[in-house]
Amino acid sequence: MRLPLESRVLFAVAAALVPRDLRPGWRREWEAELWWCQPFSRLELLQRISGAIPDALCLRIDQADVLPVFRRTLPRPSTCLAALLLLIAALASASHGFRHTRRALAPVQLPRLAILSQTGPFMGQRLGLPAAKLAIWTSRARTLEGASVYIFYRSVVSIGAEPPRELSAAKAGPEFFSLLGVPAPLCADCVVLGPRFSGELTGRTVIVDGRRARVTAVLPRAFWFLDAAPAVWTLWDPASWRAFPDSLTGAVCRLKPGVAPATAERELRQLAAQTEPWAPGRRISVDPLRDIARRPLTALGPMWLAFLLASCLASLAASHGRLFLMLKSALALVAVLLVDLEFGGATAITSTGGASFGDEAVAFWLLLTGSGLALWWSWRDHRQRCHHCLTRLSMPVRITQAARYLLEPSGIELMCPHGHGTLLTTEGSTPESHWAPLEIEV
Amino acid sequence: MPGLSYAAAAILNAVRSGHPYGFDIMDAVSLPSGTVYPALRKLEKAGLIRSQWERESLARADQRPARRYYQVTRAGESALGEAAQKYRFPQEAAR
Repeated sequence: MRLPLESRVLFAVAAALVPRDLRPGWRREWEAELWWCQPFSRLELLQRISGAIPDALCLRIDQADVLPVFRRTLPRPSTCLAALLLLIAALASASHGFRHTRRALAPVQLPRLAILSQTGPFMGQRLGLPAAKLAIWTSRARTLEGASVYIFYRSVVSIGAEPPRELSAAKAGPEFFSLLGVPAPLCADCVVLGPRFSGELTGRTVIVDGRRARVTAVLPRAFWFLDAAPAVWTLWDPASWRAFPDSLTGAVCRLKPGVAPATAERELRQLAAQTEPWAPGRRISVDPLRDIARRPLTALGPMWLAFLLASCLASLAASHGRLFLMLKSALALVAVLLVDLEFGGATAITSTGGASFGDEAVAFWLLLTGSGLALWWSWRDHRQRCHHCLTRLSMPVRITQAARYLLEPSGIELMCPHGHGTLLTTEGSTPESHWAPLEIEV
Repeated sequence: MPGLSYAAAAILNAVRSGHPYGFDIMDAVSLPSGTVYPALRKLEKAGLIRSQWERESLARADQRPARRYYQVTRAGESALGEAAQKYRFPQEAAR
């Protein structure tokens, strides 16, 4: 049985915990049980396999000894770093191997393709274009090789014997996929399915918005066009839009070889000035798709790179305590950044990108809050560690009473489990921490 | 094994009621695999259940891997008898 990646990783970790002599029998038993779980969803399978860890621990150590082992292991600095690395590995699994980040880092993508948009007068939002205007631009502009409209919407789709489902869908002009260089013909009574579907559906009939249509192609797994990721692509019908001449649609274009986006922008502005009345605050943009895909990294990445570089340089000359603090903070911040990049939905922030305007603001707020919390946790955790061995301090003891703080220091005293020293955090209007090293080893 | 916990007793009861392998026991007692398997190890170590592998020929005929079956020992029966006075087991466990 072929398990999904996250289940395979978990199973391998559990198997590594089982004592070597018991491992073949343990594996045989679990694999036999998991064979029956083939119809299960990934989540159900993961839930079942998660029990392999306690089972493996039970075999490794007598269960009564598990807690003391955890108590000994958890306060160690290496456990803290391992937990953060495990968190990043879990994020990798949940995000299909950092899909968005990998795409943003890919060397060359979607050459000469760009999104056309115009900035409206309302809060500088980037809007789409009226389809009629795009037709004029395409016929007159010398910098454009071709262009196509597209819109994202929700559609009711029924495939095979499955009941109808509401899915994300898109309508696009007939030349859309040829512009993108994907062999997927769109016609009036046919549809193209997104990469989430199996290629076996090609040639079959599906029902989209109550109309029967033939599947002409299923897009390849590597296909990407902004973050909307529609399940179904149908043909955009200009006739249905004639009643709404000012309605805006998304527009993608291919620039002629050697034409820079800025040159195309200049030409389109001149065309707009000649063919339509002047409107305040309007600005025409030609955003290369490659730049849109890289936007999260170009916007946020340098900040993190600078921090990581500064951490590495600072740690070279600093103590192992500071190195640990820097490593821990960097890993926590990287985890926050990855969560934001992969799940924040801020990859495409224009109205034509399939993500709502709110996504960008929410993603940025999450990034700031998450980073602040990560740094606060890192610093707070560091203050409660032994100055000598970096183990978490334990055995809290109250020292005297708060009412007697004029006579002697009062507060909470924590002790290093290895006996390297004590940390007294005093109470009062200005709480302070005093580290007192001990000479005796416990 | 002095005094079975409720989970251990419920698992023992499920095995005796005809749920002989891990995932079947999980479904019978509605406990996660992280509770059932360690409990099975403990019960086996205490001699309250014993396990044996299904015959390879049977599994091969069905084109699937052989399962590990558990069954209650005599000591397990008496421990379960004592536990039954202390706990009430759900009827669903019985097949």
